[in-house]
Amino acid sequence: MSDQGDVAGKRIGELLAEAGLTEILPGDFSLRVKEAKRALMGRLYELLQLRSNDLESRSVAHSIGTLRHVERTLGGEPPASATVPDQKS
Amino acid sequence: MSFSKPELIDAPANWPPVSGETVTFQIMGEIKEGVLGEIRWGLVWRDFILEDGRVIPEHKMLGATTSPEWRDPQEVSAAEREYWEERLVDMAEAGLDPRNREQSFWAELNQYLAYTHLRLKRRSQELQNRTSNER
Repeated sequence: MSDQGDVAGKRIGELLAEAGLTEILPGDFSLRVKEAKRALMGRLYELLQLRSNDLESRSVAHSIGTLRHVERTLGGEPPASATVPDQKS
Repeated sequence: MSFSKPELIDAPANWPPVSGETVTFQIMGEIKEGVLGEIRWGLVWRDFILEDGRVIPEHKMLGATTSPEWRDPQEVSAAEREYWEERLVDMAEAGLDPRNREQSFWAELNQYLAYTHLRLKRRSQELQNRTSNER
């Protein structure tokens, strides 16, 4: 990879680590899905206000729909196998 | 349907490991190992698919000789994103639970949320740049 590519890659890794998205704890999925949905809805609102970029509006709306489906799955209690172990590190 | 990112020609010979090798990784503080089946690019990072079906992100692997590879969200096509979304919906409708660690749904939803974060971050950055250029 080029030096430029390395820097860009590291930046992506850092951004995700800052946001706690490199490893989502099983118990945090509901919250993370809600946060993502809220952010997408904010973006959709902006796009509708601007009345531009139909393609992006549709893709954002589709993403919101996807997360709604996932959210329904997360509505129940987590399965026994999804319990979080003691944090050792 | 599969989407792949071209392999890098200058990647070191000893990383990533090859199919059949035993790999060690750390998930939520636990060190584990397994036999590598294949490596697959996701929306943001590479997933190591173990022979027993577990899916481990590259950045959780131990013993890597290079930094993990990341993918710019701009490289993800609309078709790939839609394919990924359909898979998530299918897995949710099949009754799978993403809280089942190291399984496909857990891995794919994690990548999708990371991708969504980067995608929106880029958009807000673009908007900020445009606003400051207009001033």
